[in-house]
Amino acid sequence: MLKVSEVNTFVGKKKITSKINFEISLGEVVGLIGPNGAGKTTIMKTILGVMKFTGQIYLNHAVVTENNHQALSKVGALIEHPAIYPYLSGRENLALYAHDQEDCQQIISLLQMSAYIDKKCKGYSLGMKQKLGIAITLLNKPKLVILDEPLNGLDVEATIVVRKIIVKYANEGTTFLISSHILSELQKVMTRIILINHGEIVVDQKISDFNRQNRPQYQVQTDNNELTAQLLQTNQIQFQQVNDDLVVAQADLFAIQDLLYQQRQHFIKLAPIAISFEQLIINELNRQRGEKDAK
Amino acid sequence: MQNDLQIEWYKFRKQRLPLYSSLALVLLMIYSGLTSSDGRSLMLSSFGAIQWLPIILIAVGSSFLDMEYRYHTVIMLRYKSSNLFKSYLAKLVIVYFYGVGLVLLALLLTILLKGVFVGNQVRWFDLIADRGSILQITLVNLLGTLLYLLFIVTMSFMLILIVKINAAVIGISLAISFFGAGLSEALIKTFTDATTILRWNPLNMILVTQQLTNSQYVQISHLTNPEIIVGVFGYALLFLILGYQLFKKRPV
Repeated sequence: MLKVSEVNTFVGKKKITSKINFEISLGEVVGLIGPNGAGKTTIMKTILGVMKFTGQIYLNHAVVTENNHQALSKVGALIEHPAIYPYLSGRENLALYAHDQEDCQQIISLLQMSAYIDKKCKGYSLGMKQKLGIAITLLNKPKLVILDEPLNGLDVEATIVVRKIIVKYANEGTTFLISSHILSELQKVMTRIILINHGEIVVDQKISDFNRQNRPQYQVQTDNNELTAQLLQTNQIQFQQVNDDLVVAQADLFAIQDLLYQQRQHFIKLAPIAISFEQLIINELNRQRGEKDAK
Repeated sequence: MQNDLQIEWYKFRKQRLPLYSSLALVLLMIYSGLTSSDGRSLMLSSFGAIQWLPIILIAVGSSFLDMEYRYHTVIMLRYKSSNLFKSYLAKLVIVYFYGVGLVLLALLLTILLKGVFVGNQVRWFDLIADRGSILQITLVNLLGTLLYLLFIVTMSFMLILIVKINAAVIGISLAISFFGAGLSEALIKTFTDATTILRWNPLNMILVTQQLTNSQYVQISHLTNPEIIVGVFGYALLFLILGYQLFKKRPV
C-alpha cells in the first residue's frame, strides 16, 4: 500500500532522516514512535511530498515526488496542527475538501461534533479543533490516514471516540500511520511499531512480536541467590542481578523452578515487574544507544 | 483551475478583510472629498482612490497568502493540490479580480461623490490642455491603476514568501509605492551612462499610472507608454514565477 524506500530527507543541506525503509499494508495501524526531534513529523511530511528528499515513495504503486502528488488524492493528513480556517464554521471547513455531503455528515456524527459544527471555528476549544482536524483527514474514504499527535487536547471521552474510529476505519481497510507521545493510547490501536531515533528506524516490528520480545519479567530471591545465579549461568538462562534480587523473564520461571528443585532450593520471593509500554520504549531506546556507543 | 478558483473565492469571500477593505476605500474617498477643495484633482484621482487602491490590495493580497501559513492550512494546499501552480495562480487571480472590483467601486463612487463634493463647478467633459477631457483622464488613470495592481499583487505575494511577516510586507510595499519612483528617478539621474539599463528597473514601473495620462512622465521614466506597459507585465510575470518558486520551496 505504502512503500518508503531508501528515503533521506533534507532541510536545506542538512539531512534529517537517513535511509528510511518500510512498507505498510492495507488496514495496518502503524505507530511511528520516537523521542522529540527523532524525525517522525519529517517522515510524515516526506510521504506527503512536501519535503526535499531522495529515495522512492510509492502509494498503491504510484510514485510520490515533491512535484507529483497525484497518488495522494486518497490520503488524509493531520500534521502538527489542525488545518482549519477559523473564520469558517466546522462544516464549511469540511466542505472545502469533501466530495460527498453524506460522507461528511457521517464523519460529523461519528466524531460527535453535531452540536457545534455550524459555529465559527475561532470559538472552538483545542480539542474541538483537533477533532475537526481529524474529521478532515477522514473525508472522501481515504486509503491512508497520517495522524501526527492526533490526541493533542482531546479529553478522555474524545480520545475513546477517536480510538474507536481508528479501529473502525482500519477494519474497513484504511491504513493509519500515527505518531503520538501518548503511548498507552497508541498501544491500544496499533498493529505495528516503527521506532525512530536520530532520523533512523531502529525497530520495525508487529506489536505482538515487540511485546513478546520485551516479555514480562520477575524479581526473584531464593534460599541461596549466589548458587541460583551460577545455575542460571550454567544453563544459559538470561538474568540480571539487581540489588538482592535476580531479574528473570516470566517464560523462564518453570525452567528455573525445576533447577531449584533439583538443588533443593526454594523461591523466597517472586514478584512480577510491571513495565509500562512507555518503559519498554525507553528501554529499547537505551538499548539502541548502548549498542551505538559500543560501536 | 476552475475548482481552484472556486475554492479560493470561497475562502476569500468568507473573510472579513475584503469587506472591511472595501469600506475603508469608501471612507478614504469620502475623507478626500471632505478635506480637499480642488474638484478637478479629486475627480482625476478618483477621490484619492488611485493612491489608496494599491495600499489596500497589498494588505489584502499578502494577508490572503499569509493566512495559509498562520492557520497551518498550507500543508493541505501543498499536498492535496495536484497542480500547485494552479492553486497559487488561483489565489493571485482572486485577489487581482477583487482589485478590479475595487476599481469599479471607485469609479462608481467617484461619479457619486463628484455630485456631492464638486457639483457643477467642474464638468466631466471639461478639457485639460494636451491631455483630453477629465472623464477620459480619470478612466485612463483607473486603467493605469489596474495595470499597476497587477504589478503590486504579484509583488506582495512574492514579498510575503520572502519576508514572512505580513506587517513588514505592508511596510516594504508602502515604502516602494511612495518612494520607489523617486528612488528610481534619482538612480537614473546619478548614473546617466546606464540609463538604457536602469530605465527598466522595477521601481520605474510604478510611474505607469501617471505616465499613461501625462506624457511628461516619459522624461522621468525614460520609457515610452508601450515600453512601460510591457515592463509592468514583464515584472508581474517575473514576480509570479519567483513567488511560485518560493511558495513551492518554503518549508511547511
